[in-house]
Amino acid sequence: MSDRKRSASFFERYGGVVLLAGMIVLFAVTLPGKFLTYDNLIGVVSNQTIGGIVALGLLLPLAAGVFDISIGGVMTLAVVVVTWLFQTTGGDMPIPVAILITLLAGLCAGGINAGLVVIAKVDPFIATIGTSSVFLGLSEVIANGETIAKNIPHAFTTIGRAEIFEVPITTVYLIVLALIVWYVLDHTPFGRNLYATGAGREAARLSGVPTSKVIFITFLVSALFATIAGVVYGARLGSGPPNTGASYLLPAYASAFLGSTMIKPGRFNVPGLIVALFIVAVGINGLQLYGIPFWVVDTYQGLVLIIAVVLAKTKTRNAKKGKAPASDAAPPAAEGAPA
Amino acid sequence: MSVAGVSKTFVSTRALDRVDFDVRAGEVHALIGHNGSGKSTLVKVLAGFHKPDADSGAFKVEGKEIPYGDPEAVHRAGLRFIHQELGLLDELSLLENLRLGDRYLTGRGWRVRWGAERRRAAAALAIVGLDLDPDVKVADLTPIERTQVAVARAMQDEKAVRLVLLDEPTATLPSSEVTKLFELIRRMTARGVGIAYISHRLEEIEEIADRVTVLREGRVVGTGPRAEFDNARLVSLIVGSHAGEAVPATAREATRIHGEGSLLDFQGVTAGELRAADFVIRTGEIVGVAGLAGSGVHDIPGVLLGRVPVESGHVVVAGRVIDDPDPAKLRPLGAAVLPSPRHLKGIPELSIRENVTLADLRPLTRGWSLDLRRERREAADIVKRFDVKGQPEQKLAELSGGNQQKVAVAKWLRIEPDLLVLDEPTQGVDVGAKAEILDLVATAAADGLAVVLCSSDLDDLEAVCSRVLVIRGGRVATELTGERINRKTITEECYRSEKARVS
Repeated sequence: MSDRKRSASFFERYGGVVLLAGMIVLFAVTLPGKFLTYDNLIGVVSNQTIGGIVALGLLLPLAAGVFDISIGGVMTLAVVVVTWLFQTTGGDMPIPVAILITLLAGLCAGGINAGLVVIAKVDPFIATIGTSSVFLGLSEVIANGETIAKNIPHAFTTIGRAEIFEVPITTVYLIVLALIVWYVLDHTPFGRNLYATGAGREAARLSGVPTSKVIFITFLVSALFATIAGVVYGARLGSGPPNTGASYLLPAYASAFLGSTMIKPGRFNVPGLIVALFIVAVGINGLQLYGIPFWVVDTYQGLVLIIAVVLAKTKTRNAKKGKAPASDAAPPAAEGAPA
Repeated sequence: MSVAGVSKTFVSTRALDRVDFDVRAGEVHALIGHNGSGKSTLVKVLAGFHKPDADSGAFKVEGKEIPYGDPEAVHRAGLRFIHQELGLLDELSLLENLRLGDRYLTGRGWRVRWGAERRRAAAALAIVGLDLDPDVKVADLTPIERTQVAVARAMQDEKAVRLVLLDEPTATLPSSEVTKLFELIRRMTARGVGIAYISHRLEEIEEIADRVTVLREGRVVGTGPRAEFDNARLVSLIVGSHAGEAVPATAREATRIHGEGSLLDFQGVTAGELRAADFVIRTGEIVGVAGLAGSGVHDIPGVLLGRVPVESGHVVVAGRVIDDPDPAKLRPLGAAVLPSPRHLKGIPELSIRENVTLADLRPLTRGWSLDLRRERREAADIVKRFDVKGQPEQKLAELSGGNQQKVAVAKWLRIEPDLLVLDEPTQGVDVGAKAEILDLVATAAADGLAVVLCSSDLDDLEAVCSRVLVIRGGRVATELTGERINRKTITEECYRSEKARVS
């Protein structure tokens, strides 16, 4: 049995790392004194932390074969709820309590998604597009259409602004959460059940995997991570604009899909996600340093998403047999699920 | 229509061996044979989906030669195929179903001329004797009406139609409506259309067919006017003269020693095609379950897997009543079920290692984490012990069918169940792998495992079973033991018509 047949080739696995290294070298050479400075690089990293946290949470539903489109909505809700709690209490609410309430609200939002998908059996894509809009609407109501900026305690903002040995604390959050998700996906029975569910929901169920429970939990986790991202965002900004989260949706998908084509190709995986995150970030940063026009960022992210999905598709084209045919008496198979 | 000397060889097996088949205008020619006899391959050759081997004879319709492997030419020549599933779309109207894949009549500005279309649809429905509003949804029809619509669709350009092939048209019909189907068939033959009729039910063939052709192992083993074939002769042609091959006697003996505790008990279970089915499976026995397509054989694993809802009756597993079984509930009770569709036996995108341990990760769990080193060792062990041709880290999808099957069986044997229900465990598996799989099962049974073997391969049943249940009309019609477990008796029992029993 050849090595090639057993596992993905070196290029398939580490092509992304090579690409990232190439970009760094290119920008370092062509943008001397601008790109390769501590401030710039740490800026690139800390710019990715919030989007990275959202994307980490998103990995779970994607690995289980379902879409969660509501993460932007949930994040917005979290930003608004946590700041509003301070504003209405005149800044008197203890910070841990405010954060706890916000996390619970986020879990409720995830629970609604999970219930719609698992119990009411609504297509996850449709369900979460719907709830996303509802969460955004709710955020508008709570914020009364304005940015919440009153009575935000200074201590709260340090959660988003502090530095540990000159490393922004948000970067530390990203590293810790990435380690946790990596551990869960690669080293726990839950992670295994998650991948099995994503690769063939009915086949996994017939092997005794509690697929409904798995999917339920993934929605809770993705909402929880979006909420954490929202809290961190609110803390960093020191205020709560009611329209922030939506812009994090597309980059999260772009990096999750791009990440699924490397390190462990064909699987949504944490190391791949991290590499992908920085391919997107370094690319944008380099382009901005070149002085590229403002519209390039969106276009670039969109292209990355599309290219990543095309790559993922061509790699798994021969492995779509896990899907049950429509005539099966099976519950709706991993709706609209990728890979 | 005629084909002469059609052969079709798939990679290693000859599915059709110089088969001649012809249908005359206005007659009903029945094509029968067991699963795997080559019927469906022949149908696919006729429909133009498969190209037969190069040395095959000519395919002619009314003397004109038709190229093989060209579905459009077949359609133009006036051949129509109606498959068991009918191919109707429930959510569309009759009219839309009739026009499916075809062009609508249009007027100015690409406007569909609905009035003209409705008249045309009504005319097509009239051919089959249906007087229904063309705007009705197919979902609202009775089973026989759906069949009629499918026929109407095949017949709508009536002048062009020469032959209609009906593949198991009664499989989805209640028996009370079969006579209506026969009326419809007579209506078609009266118009000079030839009918090729595929069915498992011999009493239907007795009633409707003018001629019969029996296929076995890809060859025509009997053909001629219906009157020359009585049921007994048909059955013996279907089965062949196959004497029982060497049976691993030790395995069979071993399974008889055990046998007290009831592990699986179906008490009057009605589900899918099953009608108040009753049977009990005990420790250490290998029980075969046989039956024709549509008899309900596969609803037994279906019920246990939670794919076929139980309408009434009780399923008792290891002494516990489980009304809505599913694999997660069965596992703690020591019961495991292997489904038949290949894509559900395992997860193609996961590795052999991940597949083989998926059914129970608890023994590999330390605290919160999986002991991956131990899992690798265990997987390597299983690959060796079950002689799987592949590496533990290889994706399941990369294995051959037989090896995928072995992985699936190994997955369930690993959790050491008390009861293992296998649905078609040797389907699409080569002879060597088949013997190995049966051997694994027999060995496990010798250690006290109870096995339910639902298989359409009668050799399997003959080889390892201590009892065989024959399912007919959704219930256990006969139980065979000892010498009566052989291909011939099982087939006879499967085909025995309910009518014959009454008389």
